[in-house]
Amino acid sequence: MNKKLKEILLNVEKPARYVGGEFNMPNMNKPCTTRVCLSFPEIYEIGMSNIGFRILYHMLNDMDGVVCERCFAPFVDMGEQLKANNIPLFSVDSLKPLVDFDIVGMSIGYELLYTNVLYMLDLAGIPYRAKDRVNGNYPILIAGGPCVVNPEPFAEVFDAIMIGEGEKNLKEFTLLYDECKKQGLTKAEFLDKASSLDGVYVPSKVMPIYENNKIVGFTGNVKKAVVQDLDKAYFPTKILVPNIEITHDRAVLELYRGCNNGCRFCQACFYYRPIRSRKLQTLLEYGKQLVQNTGYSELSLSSLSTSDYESLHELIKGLKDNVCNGNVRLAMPSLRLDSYKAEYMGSGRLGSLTFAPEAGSQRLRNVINKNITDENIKNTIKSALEFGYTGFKLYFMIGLPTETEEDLQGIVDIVLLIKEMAKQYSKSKRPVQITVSTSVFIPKPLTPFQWERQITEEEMLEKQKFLIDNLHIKNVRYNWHSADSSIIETVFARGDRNLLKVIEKAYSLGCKFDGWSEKFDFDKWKNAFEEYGISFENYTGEWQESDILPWDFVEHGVSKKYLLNERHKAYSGITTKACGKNNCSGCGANKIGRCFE
Amino acid sequence: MKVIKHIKKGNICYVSHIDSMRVLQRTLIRANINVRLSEGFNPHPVTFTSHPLPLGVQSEEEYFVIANEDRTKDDILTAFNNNVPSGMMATECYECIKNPNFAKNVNYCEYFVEGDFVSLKKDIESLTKNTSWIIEYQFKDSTKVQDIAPLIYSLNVQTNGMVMIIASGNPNLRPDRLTSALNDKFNLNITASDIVRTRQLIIKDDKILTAEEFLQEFIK
Repeated sequence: MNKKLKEILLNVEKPARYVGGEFNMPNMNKPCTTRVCLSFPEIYEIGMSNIGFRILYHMLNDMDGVVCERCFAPFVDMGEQLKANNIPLFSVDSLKPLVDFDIVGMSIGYELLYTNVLYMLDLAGIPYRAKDRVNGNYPILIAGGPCVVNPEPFAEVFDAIMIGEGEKNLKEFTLLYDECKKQGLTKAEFLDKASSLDGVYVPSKVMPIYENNKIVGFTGNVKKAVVQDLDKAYFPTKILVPNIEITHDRAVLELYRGCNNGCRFCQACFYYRPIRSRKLQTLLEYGKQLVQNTGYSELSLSSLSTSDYESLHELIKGLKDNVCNGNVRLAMPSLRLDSYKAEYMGSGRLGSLTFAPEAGSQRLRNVINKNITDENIKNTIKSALEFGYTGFKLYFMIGLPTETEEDLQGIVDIVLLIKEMAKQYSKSKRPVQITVSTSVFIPKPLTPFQWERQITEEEMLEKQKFLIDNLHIKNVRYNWHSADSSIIETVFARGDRNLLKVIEKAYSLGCKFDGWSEKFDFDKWKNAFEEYGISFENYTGEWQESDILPWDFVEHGVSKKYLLNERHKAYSGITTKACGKNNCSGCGANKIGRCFE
Repeated sequence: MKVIKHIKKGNICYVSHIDSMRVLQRTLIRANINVRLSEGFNPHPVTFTSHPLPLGVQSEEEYFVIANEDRTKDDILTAFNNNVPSGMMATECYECIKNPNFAKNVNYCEYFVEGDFVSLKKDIESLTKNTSWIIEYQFKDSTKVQDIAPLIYSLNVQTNGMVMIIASGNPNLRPDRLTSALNDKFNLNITASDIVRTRQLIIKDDKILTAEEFLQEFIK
C-alpha cells in the first residue's frame, strides 16, 4: 500500500471498509488466468449484506483459474480523497485498480443507484459508455442484479448484461471468457460468442428499433438464465465474516426462489419464477455449516415469502434443535399476515410484529391480489396480542391503481382496530405502539401493473396529508416515503436508452448516493431532465396495452399475455389463487424451468 | 484463565478496537472455545484485553485474556489460529492462575516507527531532556492541551527507524499523537500505520519488566 493511501485511510470514516482482510477470504494468490472484480454501487456495509453478491463472489473464487475480488462505492469522504490524490478506485481484497481486471461486474439492485455506477466508473478511470472503450485496454464491463429486469437506461454502459440467475449465466460467461483468453480471442470475438449464452444480453447486438420516437421492435431477443435445480445450485457456507458491523450482520439461509402469491405490484415475484426450493435436509446442513464457519450469533431465513416454504415447520424445529439452541438466535423476516404463526416465534424476543397488508380495504387488496381478508387481519392481531406483542409495524402502499379515499381510510381503520383489540387482548401493561409506513406505488416492469400510471406528485402529497391528519393518534407513528425519489424510481424502472445522458448529466451536477434521503437532490434531477427536454410524464404516465415496452426483448417465461390478463382481472376485482403443486396459474414460467419439482 | 498473545498487523490495523473485540469474540465461537459468562444481569463472556490500539497502529504484542479452564493452552493456540483473520494470529498461549490485568498494570509501551530519521537523531533524542513539551490536539469539537514531556521515557533513532517508549495506561500518551507532534516539529510525514507496538512494559519494584516477564508470576 502506498504512503498516500495509508494517509487517506486514516482521514476517512471507517477505513476498514476499503481494505478487506476478513475471515474466510478465499486465496487471492492461486494460479489464475481470469481476474474478476464484482462491484456493488453502494457502501461496503450494504453491499456485503447482499446474499446474491456473496454467493457469486464465492462461486467465482471456487472456479479453477478464476480469482474474484470485490469493490464497493467509496463513501463521499473517500471518493473525494481518491479524486484529489489521483488514486484510481481499487478492489477491497488486494487493493488492485479496477482497470487491471479482466471483467468488472456491477450488481445493480435499485434504480436510485444508477448515478453511483457512473461514480464508481469515474473514480476507476473507465469511460462510461461501451462504445468509448472499444479502443483501449479496459476490462469487460458487465451488470447483473434485480434492475436488469429493465436494463435499458444503463444498457449502453455495459459490454454485457446478465439477465437471470448468476449461478448459471455469470458462471458460463466467465468460463467462456477464460477459454477465449487462453485462445487469444479479441474482446469483440468473445462478446460475439457470449451473446449466444442463455441470459447474456450484449446491448450492442440486441437493440430497440425506433419509429417516430416509439419502439416498434428489437434486433434480437434474450432468454433469462435459470438454475434448474436450486437444491444442487452453488451455495457457499464458508462465507466472509466482515471485520466491521454491516447492515445485515448475520448468516443467511436462502430457502427458495420465486413466489407463489402473485401480488400484482411485485416485480420480484414474477422475475424470480419458476418457483424452486431447497430441500429441508440441505437447508439444515447449510444452516449448521454457516453458523459453525462464521461464528455469527444470528441465523436468518430468506426468500420472498418465507412462511410459504412447504417444510417451514420442520425447518424451524430442526434448526432450533440442532443449530439455534445455544447462543444462536433464529431470526425470521417479516411474515405474510395470512400465514403468521405465533408459535414459530416461540423463543425469540418479542419486539414488534411486522406485516404488510399493502392496502387498507378488502376491495383494493383484491385488486392487487394480496390475498388477505379482514378476518385474517383480525385473527393475526388477536393471536399476536395474546402472545404478548406490544408493537405493530404495518406497511402499505399509496397510489395503487383504483385507489380512493375510502381505501386510505381503511389504513386508518386497521390502526383503530388494533387499538381497540389491544384493550381486550393485550397481555402487557405497556401501551401498544403502532408504526405505519407507506411507500408510493411504482409501476414496475414485468408485473401486471407495468402499464399503469404513477400518481402525480400532487396526488402523493394529498394522500400523505390525509394519512398524516388521520393517523394523528396517541402511540401511532406514521412514516412516509419521499414523493420526489419515487418519481425518479419510476422513470428509471420504466426507462429506455434515452435516459443514459440524463444520468450522466445528473452525476455531473453532483447526484450520487440518491438512495440516501439526505443526499437525494430532486432539483438537480429536474435540471438534468430539463437539459434534454425529457419530461417525467413520458415514463410515469399510463401506457397502452398495445405498446412495445423497452424490456419486451427479454423472454422471462412469465408471458405478457398472462400479465395483461392479470391486469384485467385486477380491474374486475378478481383474485388469482396462489400457485401450488396442483394449481398452476399458467404464467408461463414453467417454459423455462419447472415449478415445485 | 488463558492469556493469548497475538499480533495485529497488516490492513487489519484499520479495524477499530471495538470492532476488533467483535472479531475476537467470533473467533472464540468458531473455535468452539468456551468462555465463562459473567454473573451479572446481562451475562457476557469474561474476557480482557490490553490497552486499545489507536486506529491504524499495528502491533506485535497484544494480549487477550479469556476465562477458560476446560482446554489446554496448546489446544487453544491451535484452535484460535485456525479461526482468526490472518492479521491477528496468536504467537503464544499461557495458562494463568488469574487475570494479569494488563490494562491496569502496563505503564509503558514500546513502539517502532519505520522511516529514515538518522539526520535528526540528535534533535529527536534530546527531546527526552525537555522538562516540558506542550502540544495541542483536536478532541471531538474542542482543542485540548497536553504536556507530553513527562510521558516520554525514551526516543532512540536507529538506521531504519525510531524506537519510542512512552507512557501507556494512566497517564497515557497516544503514539500517533507523539508522531504528529514530531511531524510538526521536524516537518516529517509519519502516519499511524508506520507505527508498530513492539512491547508492553510494567514497572515493578523500581524495575522495568516486559509483559512476558511480568506474566511469569501468574503462570500455573
